[in-house]
Amino acid sequence: MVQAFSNLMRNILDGKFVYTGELEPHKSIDLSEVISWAKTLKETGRIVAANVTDNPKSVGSISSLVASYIIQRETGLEIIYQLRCSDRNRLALVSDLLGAAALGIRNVLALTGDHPRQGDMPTAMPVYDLDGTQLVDLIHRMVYEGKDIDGNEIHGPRPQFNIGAAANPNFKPLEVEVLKIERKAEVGAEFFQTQVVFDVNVALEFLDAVKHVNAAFLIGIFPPRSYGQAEYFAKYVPGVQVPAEFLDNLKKISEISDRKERRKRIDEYNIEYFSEFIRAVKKKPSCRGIHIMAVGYPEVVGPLIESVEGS
Amino acid sequence: MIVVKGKPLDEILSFLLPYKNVLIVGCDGCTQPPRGLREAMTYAMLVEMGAKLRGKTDLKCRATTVAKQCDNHICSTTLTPQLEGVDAILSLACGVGVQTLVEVFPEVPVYPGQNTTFIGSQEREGSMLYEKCKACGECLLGETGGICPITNCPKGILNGPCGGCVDGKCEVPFEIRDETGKVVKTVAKDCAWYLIYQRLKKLNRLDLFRKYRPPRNRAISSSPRLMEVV
Amino acid sequence: MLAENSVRIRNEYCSKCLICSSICPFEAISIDKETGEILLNIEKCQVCGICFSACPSSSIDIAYYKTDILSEYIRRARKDNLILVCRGAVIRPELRERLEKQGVLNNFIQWYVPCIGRIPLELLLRALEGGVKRIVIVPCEDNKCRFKFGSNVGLSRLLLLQELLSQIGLNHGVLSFARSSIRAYINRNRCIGCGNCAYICPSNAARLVSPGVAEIDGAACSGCGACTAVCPSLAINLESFENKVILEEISRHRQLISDLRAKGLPAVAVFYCHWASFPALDEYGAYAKENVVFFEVPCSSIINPLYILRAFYEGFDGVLVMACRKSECKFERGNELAERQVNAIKNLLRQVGLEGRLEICFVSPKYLGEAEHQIKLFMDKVAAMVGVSK
Repeated sequence: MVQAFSNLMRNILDGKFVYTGELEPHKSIDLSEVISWAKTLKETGRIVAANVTDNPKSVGSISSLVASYIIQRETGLEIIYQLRCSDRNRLALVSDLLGAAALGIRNVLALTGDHPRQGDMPTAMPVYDLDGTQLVDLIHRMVYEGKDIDGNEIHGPRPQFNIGAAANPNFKPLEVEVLKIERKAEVGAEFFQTQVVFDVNVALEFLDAVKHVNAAFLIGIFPPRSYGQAEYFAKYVPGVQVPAEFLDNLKKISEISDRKERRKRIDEYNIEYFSEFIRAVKKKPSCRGIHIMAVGYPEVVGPLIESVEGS
Repeated sequence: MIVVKGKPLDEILSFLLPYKNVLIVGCDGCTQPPRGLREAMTYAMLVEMGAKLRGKTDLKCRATTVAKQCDNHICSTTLTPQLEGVDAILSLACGVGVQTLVEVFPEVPVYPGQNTTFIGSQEREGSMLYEKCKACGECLLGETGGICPITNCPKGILNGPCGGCVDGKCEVPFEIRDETGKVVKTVAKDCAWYLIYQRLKKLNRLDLFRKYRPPRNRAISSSPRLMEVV
Repeated sequence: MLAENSVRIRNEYCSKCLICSSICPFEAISIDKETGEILLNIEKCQVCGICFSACPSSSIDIAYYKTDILSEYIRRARKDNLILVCRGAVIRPELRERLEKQGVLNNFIQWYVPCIGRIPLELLLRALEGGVKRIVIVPCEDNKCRFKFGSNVGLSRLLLLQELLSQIGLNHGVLSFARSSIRAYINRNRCIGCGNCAYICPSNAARLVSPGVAEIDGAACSGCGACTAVCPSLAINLESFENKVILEEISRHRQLISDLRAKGLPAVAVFYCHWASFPALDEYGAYAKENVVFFEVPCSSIINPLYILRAFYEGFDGVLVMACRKSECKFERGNELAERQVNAIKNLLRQVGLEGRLEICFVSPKYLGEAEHQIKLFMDKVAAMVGVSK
């Protein structure tokens, strides 16, 4: 039986439709920018929790645990602490998880992680002592059995985490992705946040395919700040389909010369497109929320949610 | 087969330049590409010529080969009669061969002529060499349709494919490197877990694919390993 | 065009019998329906010379092995015996013994020709007329002719001549022949069972047999020598082109090289596939500069690192490999294998400090002067490099 340790899971168990955000700290000790984004998300009053990324794309960045703690402390926004297997063996994973629990973090998103070859230190040794699924298993044992993966007891109170994992609705064939999700759910994944989806049909098909899985699915969306960002997804992020109509409309807007007007129109279009998207996926019972990855674009989040949920 | 790659000649010369009589020892065992008598003769001429061009004219090389350089007894019996006057040995075998020679002839300095790279196979003479086995010590091939995820997945994960698999291809391509380690070419790579999925589906064993595989016991493959002959 | 063709059809003498067109193994000769002229497609031609020897009106001209020059040579040499051997064939010990018994091996002339099928009967008759008592011909075995059926065409002609000779009272011993093609052979004690020979063999003659030892089927072997080049334990050799023979031949030129060095001339070694280049009578008269040494090989694919390194080791300043043009290898892809091998050796030489001293070129005897031109280019390059480094 899933217990709620975090507000995120409490809301999900209460049957509420949840919204999560995403924060990406960089290779820097200065967290002021992410903190200000986090504040914006918090002020919307609609974002129940936000992910703090862990060395995204294998670019060595500030410790996601430290960033998660500071952001949570400074802003009061609940954090979903991302943890990758690329850079830590099971010892390091356990000690970071114990530290996270002690610092009051209540959500962990367990990831296999991009290969270091993809990042800015390609000569690094890839660790992968565990994979994402095994990390879910490890966290589950820590939380529900008070033991690590080798069965050693954790002294004192058990860590309290709600366990998340990643899913990819764009994966072809979808059958493979569904088998993977079943596997992760079997070992303890309680909620899934998905890879970016632009095409609502892809999201709907995915939600149907996983409706038998006993876990909460949060569909990932990425309202682009500019036409360039959307084009980047269409061209360079393999497997992500961006509908032509969406690109065309953004392109037209991007041709507006007045900067203020252009910004306004992009915001409006994002809100129009994604609110329709959210309304469609919300009808599926397996869809329990939306993960809005508006990195560096937090101002769109509040109005977007308002346009779906009303103010 | 144990795949080896010749060390840069400059590195070999940096080992050998202080000596006068070098014995170059090939191996007729499992090195791939083969490093037998012909390679030993080739290296003998290369080293002498290279030394001469670098101003060292009194370095002489002799070439020989042994059936299996990883075997103490064979090395001892084949090479002992040939060691008269030899002041250094260059081994063309894998790292095992080099260390075996060191054990058999502790009084002679032994240097490696090859970089030992991986356990792999070659489709045919002249084709690419593919890494096939990591000697992990707990073979999984029986439940992965005969495709090794430990070797063929860059992350070596047991519950794949990971998010880096797109259209059946891996996010990390093969990288072909020159002797200095610089990448000179990349070749697209199939996702190992995608191949495993296809194979198991064909065998009607998707249950094996779906199965959760707990973390591996890394102690089994931790070096150095010792095994009793039973 | 750099060079003129080595094969020409003189339509003014031609009787349009079309024998040449029907006999050409490469379908290089055709008739122009409008003008009635016989046309030669030089791109298809491989200079086997079968058309030349078949032409009843002597209207086909080939630059190599001219009948007049050869018969004049025979007349002047005043030898009793003439032995003609196809380049793809070999005189094995048992044949040698037989010839010795018959007395052929004292007082004889021996020539290698690119194909027995190119020998006109006229040459043999003129040899007999010029005083030769006995002619022995050694063609390739059936199915091993580098020019498809040159060997068979040549042989049927010889049978005809034998018959004619017997009609005029000369016995069969005057003209004899023994088919015997070059073969690779393996020393099984040296074989390490790597399988390289089995992988590389173009005629599936080499194969690995249990327990991990290779075997070469002599009857299937086409005699290119590619297997010897890839054998890591020097267990395979090719008849007449044994590793030991070639290496010793390379080392024989130490004195020449040091003499050249004294004169300030670079020494160049040329390994040439003997189907890629036809020097008259195996003497590179036309371009035999004193500082070029030629080494004949049966296919460029036989060239292994040892030969090239030995050449540099002995002091040659440059090595040129002459292989057949891309689609004209007599063994499918021997020239490609040679190119790969040469590239690998170039990498080794670069590491020694001998960059640019090894080249491979692709030539054909069908263009006169093509090989000479390549040699000249290479010699100039080497001379410039040696000059600079001095």
